Amino acid sequence: MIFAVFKKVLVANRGEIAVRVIRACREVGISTVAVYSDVDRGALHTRMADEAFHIGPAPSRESYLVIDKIIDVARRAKAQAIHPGYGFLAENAGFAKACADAGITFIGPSAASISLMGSKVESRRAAAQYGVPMVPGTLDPVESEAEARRIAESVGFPIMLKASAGGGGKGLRLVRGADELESAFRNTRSEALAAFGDSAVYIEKFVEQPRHVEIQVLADHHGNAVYLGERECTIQRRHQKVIEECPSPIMTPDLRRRMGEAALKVVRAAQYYNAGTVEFLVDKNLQFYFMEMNTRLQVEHPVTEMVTGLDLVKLQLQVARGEKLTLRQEDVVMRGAALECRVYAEDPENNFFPSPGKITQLQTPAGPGIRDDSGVYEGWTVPIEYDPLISKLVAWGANRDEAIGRMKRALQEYYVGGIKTNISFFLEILEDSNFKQGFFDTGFLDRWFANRNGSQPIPEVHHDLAVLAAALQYSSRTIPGGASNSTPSNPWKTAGRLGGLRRR
Amino acid sequence: MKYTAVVAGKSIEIEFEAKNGTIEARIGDRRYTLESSNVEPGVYWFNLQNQSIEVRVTSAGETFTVSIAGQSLPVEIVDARSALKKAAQRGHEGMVEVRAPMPGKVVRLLVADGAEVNANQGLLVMEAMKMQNEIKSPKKGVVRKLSVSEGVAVNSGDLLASIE
Repeated sequence: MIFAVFKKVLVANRGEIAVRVIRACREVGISTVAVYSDVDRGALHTRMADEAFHIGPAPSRESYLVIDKIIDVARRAKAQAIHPGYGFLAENAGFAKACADAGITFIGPSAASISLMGSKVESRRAAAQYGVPMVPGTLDPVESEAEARRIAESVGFPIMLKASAGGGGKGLRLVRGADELESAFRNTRSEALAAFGDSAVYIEKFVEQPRHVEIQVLADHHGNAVYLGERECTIQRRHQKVIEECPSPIMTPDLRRRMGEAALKVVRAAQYYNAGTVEFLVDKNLQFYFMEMNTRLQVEHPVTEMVTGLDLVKLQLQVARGEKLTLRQEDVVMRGAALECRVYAEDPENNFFPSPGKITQLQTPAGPGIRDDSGVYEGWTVPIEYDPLISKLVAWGANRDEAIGRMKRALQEYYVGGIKTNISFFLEILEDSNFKQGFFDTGFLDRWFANRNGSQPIPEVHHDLAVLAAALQYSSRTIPGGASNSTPSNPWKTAGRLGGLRRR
Repeated sequence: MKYTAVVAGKSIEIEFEAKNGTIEARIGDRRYTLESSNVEPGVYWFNLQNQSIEVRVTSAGETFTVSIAGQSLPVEIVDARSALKKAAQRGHEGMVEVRAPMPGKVVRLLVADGAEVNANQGLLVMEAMKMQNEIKSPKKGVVRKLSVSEGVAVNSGDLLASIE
């Protein structure tokens, strides 16, 4: 394999992750090419990149997901490499192959690794051959209800039925007892066929009170691999991660070493290079089981960066250039604790319904230990077509308590006007005593919602001041120079933004 | 200056006078003297008996969303002029406008122009960020005008239909 020295990288993504990759490239002197759809004209990533190419209409299947368009832009811009971010084409083996065929470096693993780890059945089979612990169950799809019943009885109820082609929490069904099995098996198969075009279903023993703990790995083209600690991703809503942290509150040095070594076995099984994440379920007795491998940069990678002091995107660039890892396992030192809150444009008071629209005011937090990986700016309209993630707020502290305290302080500083966000929801969770003690499992949020006290009544003086402020705002815009000494724009903020975006 | 505010369906009288950064205000039957500065567009800093309080205001028409100490409160402000305008609109006896609650796409119309509908009957389905939401009729009546068609993108506050 011949490695290209690349001076220009195309970022095949949008939003905060495109901004994240552009920042890493700029820090090492690599120029960047952004792509954008109709509704992303003027998006933060297009403003920050050195070059920007329009690739089509808003729906991602007509823009960000069209392999030919991305490859064509890379050719026209003479980019030597493509970073896929996460989502969109990041775990598309066909895209990795198309890059290779076009002589462009795909900043990720091989197409073969993506295919292997993308299949629930094949990835488990490969990992099992290397002795990675698995949840008891089947590796092969279960063909008949009778076979399903025999397996379920041998591993013991409750069990999970899982669509082989499923993912992101879809195509899963919990079966508590033998009487539920017949209809559950039939329904899971037909749903899997409808949703994924593949009716294959396998069986796993249901792990009770599980936690999701994942191991960050990094491997080069020369057979060197390290694990970079874990991330605790147990706080989930509808199988989507909400808060992630590093280290996990349940972790011990011995468990970390055993899980890290198991993750490196998966790396070898997949002949993997690039940054990657091996996801495990951990039960209440701290037994861990392989779930799957994500063959890309993870959304929550910043918590690992804060604790290890490493820059995973730059490390991805080094690996893609064919460099050998200089980092040895004993060099990986974890310091302090970090949390991440995914700030979404959604309404926590209305069943988390998406709340896209124009951001009329934006105050982002700063100060000690705070990192805000954002993809938006004041005046930007969050489009309706994509994931409503607007930023990832990350807090680091010398220990978990300090990180939580900083996160609360930063959430209180954070203000997004014009659209609804889940910022207030995070503030409530961070006050939860079980959360504060690190005592939770994947059912935490369901129980939390069931016991939620609802919003507190507003104190009278706050109510009155709110009414007064609304009246002041009303009078200032109906009467020129009205009751307030208003400034038409904020020169400091404008200067700060321009400074932040100015290049070289 | 004198206004009426509507908060959670309740009216409250406001009167205030601003002089050299100091505000004398009467809100309902409560009186306040405080310092105030419009520190950023839509952001007010109040000093009430040495309590530093920041209040943020965003607006959509006459309705403001006010954020204070992490809580938010919708406030509608009515002055004498707009109260008159409101009264004039009520001339359209019983005509109610249905507006888009969020930006999105109209994926399906559930009724046709002229159809009789019941309160809470679905009028159309909107999609935003891959979630579908039914927009319901606020009252029993007749669909007088469907202002949108299937596949059309709408912004928050756009007129969808009028029900009489």
